[in-house]
Amino acid sequence: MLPGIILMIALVAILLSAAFYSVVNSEAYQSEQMRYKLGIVGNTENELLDLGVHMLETEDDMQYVLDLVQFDDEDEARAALRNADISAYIVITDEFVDAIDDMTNDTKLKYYATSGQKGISNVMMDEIALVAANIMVPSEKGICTLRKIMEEEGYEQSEVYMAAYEIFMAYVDTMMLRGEISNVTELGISDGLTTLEYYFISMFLFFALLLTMCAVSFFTGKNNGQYKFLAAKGISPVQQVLGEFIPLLTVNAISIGVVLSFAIAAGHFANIHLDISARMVTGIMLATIMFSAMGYFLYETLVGVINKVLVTFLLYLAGAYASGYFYPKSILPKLLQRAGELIPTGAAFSYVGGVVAGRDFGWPAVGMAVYTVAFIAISVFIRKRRISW
Amino acid sequence: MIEIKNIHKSYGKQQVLRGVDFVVEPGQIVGILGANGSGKSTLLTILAGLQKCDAGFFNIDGKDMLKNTKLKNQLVAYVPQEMPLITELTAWDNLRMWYSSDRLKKELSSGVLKLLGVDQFIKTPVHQMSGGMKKRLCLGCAMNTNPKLMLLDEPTASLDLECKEKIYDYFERYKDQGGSMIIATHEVQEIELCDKCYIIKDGVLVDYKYDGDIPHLIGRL
Repeated sequence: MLPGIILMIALVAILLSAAFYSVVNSEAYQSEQMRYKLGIVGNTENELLDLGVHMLETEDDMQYVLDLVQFDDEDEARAALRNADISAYIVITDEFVDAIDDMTNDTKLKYYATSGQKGISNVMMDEIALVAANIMVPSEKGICTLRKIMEEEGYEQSEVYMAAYEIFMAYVDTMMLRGEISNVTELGISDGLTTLEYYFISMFLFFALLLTMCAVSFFTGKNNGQYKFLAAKGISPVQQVLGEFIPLLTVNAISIGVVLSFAIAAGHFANIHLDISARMVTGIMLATIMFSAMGYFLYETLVGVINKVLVTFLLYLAGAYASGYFYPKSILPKLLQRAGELIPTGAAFSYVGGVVAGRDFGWPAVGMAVYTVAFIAISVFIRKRRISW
Repeated sequence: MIEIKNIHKSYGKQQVLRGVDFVVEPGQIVGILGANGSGKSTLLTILAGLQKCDAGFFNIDGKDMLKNTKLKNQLVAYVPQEMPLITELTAWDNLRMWYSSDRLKKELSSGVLKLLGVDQFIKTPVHQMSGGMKKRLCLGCAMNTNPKLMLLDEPTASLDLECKEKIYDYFERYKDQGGSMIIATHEVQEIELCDKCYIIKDGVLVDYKYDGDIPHLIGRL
């Protein structure tokens, strides 16, 4: 038994170390930490816009913190935002370009950012507004030139003054008053979920994981003699496993239901704007079935109480982290992100998130069903082995 | 009559049982002796239907127990070495898994459970019971179908003398009623209780007559 425990602990330690090492040493992680990637959708051929973009890219200190990424259409930019390739994107509409040309201030940029980037996006937009205002500096040369030409042409001083005043005010209207240069629209952390939805689902799934871990010890862990005695009385391994799993699942489902009820009530009283819909509840309940099967499988497979609790907790923690329960998984390397989606915790999150966000959740549902059946089938196989030992 | 014929069992390349043959008459106790890992428990688990043998027959009154599982569950009781009890529950609750309420009351007042003395600790939780009480409760659970054959894997291991005597006393009564037993054991007292003994060695069963010579027995194992 001892080599098995050591092997299991070593395996978990190696997995966690490898994950940590790959995160902090990945190019993706390091580049994500250093630069703010801003997507631009639409036409930037306008002279003033081109000047602004050029200044942002080259002439301002922001060149060290900002990457501008051009996209052909908004769908492409939105996909990049959801994949965490960019932090936000701006849509430059024809109306906005026309407004610049007309020197009016009635059309704003459309600005999209994820929830996690919304705060920093506002700061960035202030910076961009400041840079845009700097366009006024070269424009002063234009005003001086206009004044000089008008004086040479013999215009009255009052007329020169008025023309310079009008063009100056036009610039001011256009640029200086753009304190709120954009409307920021929150798209959520990822996959179309709001921050509240994301963390409510992730924390609830993590709670369900821990709950299954606690409850399972009441239904498993009997000695082999009991299993043998039951089998000799004609109760097959399948009946034994289902006889333990179904009560475990019932306890878990009731517990989750009670806590969900409290969450709905608490949200109502605290005026939290989270729609805990029937679809969300159904999704969480279906995930609970898979978690119950996973907890049952782990407790059936592992030997020794301390070993069971320790290994299960570490696996749950690693799985939850890799699947983005505690923090958006965009900080992880691409390979780990993909793995995080494929493991049971990730399948559950993709499924419940998909149900809530109205996305396609077919594959995560199939994945959850496959995992559930596999966990139960392997548990039956292990029980058979225990009985025949 | 209980017939066990030509039982073979291998784990991979290791042959554990190589043609085990013996007969148990009604009211007879047969002891299976052997060193640890010799195949005693394997033989009992095959007869209890917990695992399949590679070849062989196990008949009771001419009926094949290896194929007729339902009948086997009724005629054969198996008591493993580890206690098959739910420790959080009382003796009554454990027995209720196997007996209807009415039958349990009847057996406690004048039946097999009375003989085993389970009625004296019927309300005691299992975790508060002595080893002997637990073993008697196990036997009580196993006896719910009035079996013709009991398979016992080291039934009195690690019990004190008083507990052993109570259990042996029950074995004698069961035997007197025509019940048969196959006991896998290391205990000298159990060997003395047996009508026939076999030593299992290298997968083969050999007749053995215990004459009180323990060194000779050890040498044979």
